[in-house]
Amino acid sequence: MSLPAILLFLLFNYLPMGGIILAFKDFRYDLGILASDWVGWSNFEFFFTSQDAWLILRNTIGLNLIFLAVGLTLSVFVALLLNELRGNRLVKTYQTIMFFPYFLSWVVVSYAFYAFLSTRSGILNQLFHVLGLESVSWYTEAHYWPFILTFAAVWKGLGYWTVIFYAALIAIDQDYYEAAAIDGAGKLRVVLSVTLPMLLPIILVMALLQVGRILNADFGLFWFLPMQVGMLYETTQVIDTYVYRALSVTGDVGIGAATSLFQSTVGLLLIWGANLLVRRVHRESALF
Amino acid sequence: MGKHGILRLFLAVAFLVLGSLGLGAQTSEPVKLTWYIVGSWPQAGQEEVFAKFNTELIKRANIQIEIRALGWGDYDQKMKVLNASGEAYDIAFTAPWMNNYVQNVSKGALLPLDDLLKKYAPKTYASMAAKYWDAARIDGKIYGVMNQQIFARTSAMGGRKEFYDLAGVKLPQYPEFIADLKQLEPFLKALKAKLPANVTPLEIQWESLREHYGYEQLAPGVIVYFDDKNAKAKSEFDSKEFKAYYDLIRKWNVDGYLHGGEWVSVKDRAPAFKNGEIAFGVGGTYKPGGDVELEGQYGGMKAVSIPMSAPVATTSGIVATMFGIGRNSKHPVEAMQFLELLNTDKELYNLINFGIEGKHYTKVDANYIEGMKDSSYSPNILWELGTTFNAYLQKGQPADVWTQTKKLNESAKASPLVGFNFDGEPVKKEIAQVDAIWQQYGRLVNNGIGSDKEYREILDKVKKAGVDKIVAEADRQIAAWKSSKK
Repeated sequence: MSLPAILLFLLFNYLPMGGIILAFKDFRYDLGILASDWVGWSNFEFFFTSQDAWLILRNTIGLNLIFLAVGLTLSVFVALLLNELRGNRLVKTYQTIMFFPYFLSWVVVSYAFYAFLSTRSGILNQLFHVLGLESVSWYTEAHYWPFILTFAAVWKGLGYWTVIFYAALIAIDQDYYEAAAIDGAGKLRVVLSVTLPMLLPIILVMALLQVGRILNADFGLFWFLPMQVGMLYETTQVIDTYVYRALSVTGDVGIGAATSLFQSTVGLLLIWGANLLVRRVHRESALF
Repeated sequence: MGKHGILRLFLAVAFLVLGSLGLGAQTSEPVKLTWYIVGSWPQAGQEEVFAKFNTELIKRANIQIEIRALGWGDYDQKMKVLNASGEAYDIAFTAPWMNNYVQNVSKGALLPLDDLLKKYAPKTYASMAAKYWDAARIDGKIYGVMNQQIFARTSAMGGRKEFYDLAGVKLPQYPEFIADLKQLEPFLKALKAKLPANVTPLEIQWESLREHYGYEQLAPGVIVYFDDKNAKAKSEFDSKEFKAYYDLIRKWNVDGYLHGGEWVSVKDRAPAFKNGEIAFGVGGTYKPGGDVELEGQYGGMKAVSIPMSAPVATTSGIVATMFGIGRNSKHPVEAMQFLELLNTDKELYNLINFGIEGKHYTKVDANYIEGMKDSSYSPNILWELGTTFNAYLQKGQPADVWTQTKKLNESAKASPLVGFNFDGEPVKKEIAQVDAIWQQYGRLVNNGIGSDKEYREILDKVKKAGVDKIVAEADRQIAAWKSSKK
């Protein structure tokens, strides 16, 4: 029964792993993958000897952690609110509205944000003007961007995450609620003592999966939303955009492969480490 | 099946066999080539033009060509993927600034063409002096066929003639040129005073002023001055020219000649020129009759172009537009024959560049044409698709424009490094990093919104990124190149 799935997995996930050797090669078009020269670790030097390596790592990990924390908290909260709604139609409507941004491409979103943030004609600055406030040059001031990026990332992903948590919520056996009601528990008590504990496994699983991707930034978000403005790099440059930008000049496949191998290796270690931690605290929620 | 049935069957088969033999004897299958080009594609009328181009091509050389015309934004990326995946293609546009020529050669994407050129494109080969072919040589071999055009580079600025007249301040005309950017100040001041408030006087780019400042760039952050007989490589940013530019542009921003912060980020320059949001732009190269070509950039309005340096011949100017033949091409001979046709057959050249007569342009007389208004085919890339010297003259161009161009090419001062191509492979990490720094700070510099702090940051970061290593590598390659010439 599971044969097709296994085949697909082998074909699309395991077979291409052979390409990992590119990370250790000086790839030449005419020699091909196998015959190109081995160059040891020199492809890895590019990223680690970059003077901005630390800044880029900080942005990638820091922002991803913020997205994770804010996104998780908000979507669990919204799922709880949805659960309180009576009437299926209302729930569907809210879900659809919240899910919609998930389908928009980052290019579209970036222009929507530009309409708000543009210095001369942006909606926000015009509002500031009416209120008698100084206008803000959003696209040249780096320190606003952690907030803008977090807002955008959470706004776009909220519907998707909420659906997952809401699905887990409605699967909770009604008997628990009835028992709680008989014991005279209030709304908040029920949430704290019944709903959240029942939801914990799925929250942990979702968090674990995200932790594994902590070094992989959402390229579309970081590339399009800040409109590639150099002055914002201090807070918007992440591994994926830096490598893309640098390699679009030299077109070096080896360096690209090396960097992404590094991201994946760290991701694997993180998942493994986080899983170990989860096993200590809450054994049945661990992935493996 | 009766007797007649068998007979009929036999006849039918016989006819079929004979028929196909007969056809086969008349014409052999045309050879199919693929050709990658870049430009403002797609054009609404391109299918029709490409079809006609193919009909003509089959008539002349029994070659059929599939034209894969890609947009400016897609081409470079797409060619990298094609080359890396080893897909077979026959001909592709390659240059220092698009689908990087030297990189393609050093990574083995292109075929050496010396023998093919001499054998199958003798006229094209003879049409250019040896010194020009030398510019295309890498380790002694030619990998690309240049499209003949203006080879000399002259920094220039351009804009609408109405704005120029409005300012009422005379600027130097060729062969005079703006030798110092400060000469522009009275002009900019007048522009600022007389233009409507929503029109920005100037858009300027450090990258477009290399000839003006008298150097050529070998790699990001590394330059060689034209008047340096020893051709010693230097750091681009640690120079008095960069400092002077940095400070002057800051002042101009304060004076309100530039577009300031808003433009740092988002806006595209092309549409801003077209609809007159920016009056003048620095960029491109000065060329005889160039004002007419510029009109397209300024929404069909009359344009002027002002030289900002003396003409200089550099390697990158000579090999600025080339066609290479792909390493995996199955028909390199026919591909070269096609390039010979493109460069020698006026009719073919003008068809692919201007479209179909009566549909996309009208003939004014034997040499002059006029484009149709809102034509469905006007790629406007004469310099890419074959030698421009075969082009019809466009209304407004002087009759001897191509003679003038050839003269300008010949009169240009030659850089000490004509014929030298820098191979960035050994220092690719450093190059990628220096370039990333310029991508970060470039717009800030060109809009004059940086301070002394950013200036020092640029110098400091470029140094840390290893610009000295690139300089040393360039010096090493230049020395090797010099000794190979002796």
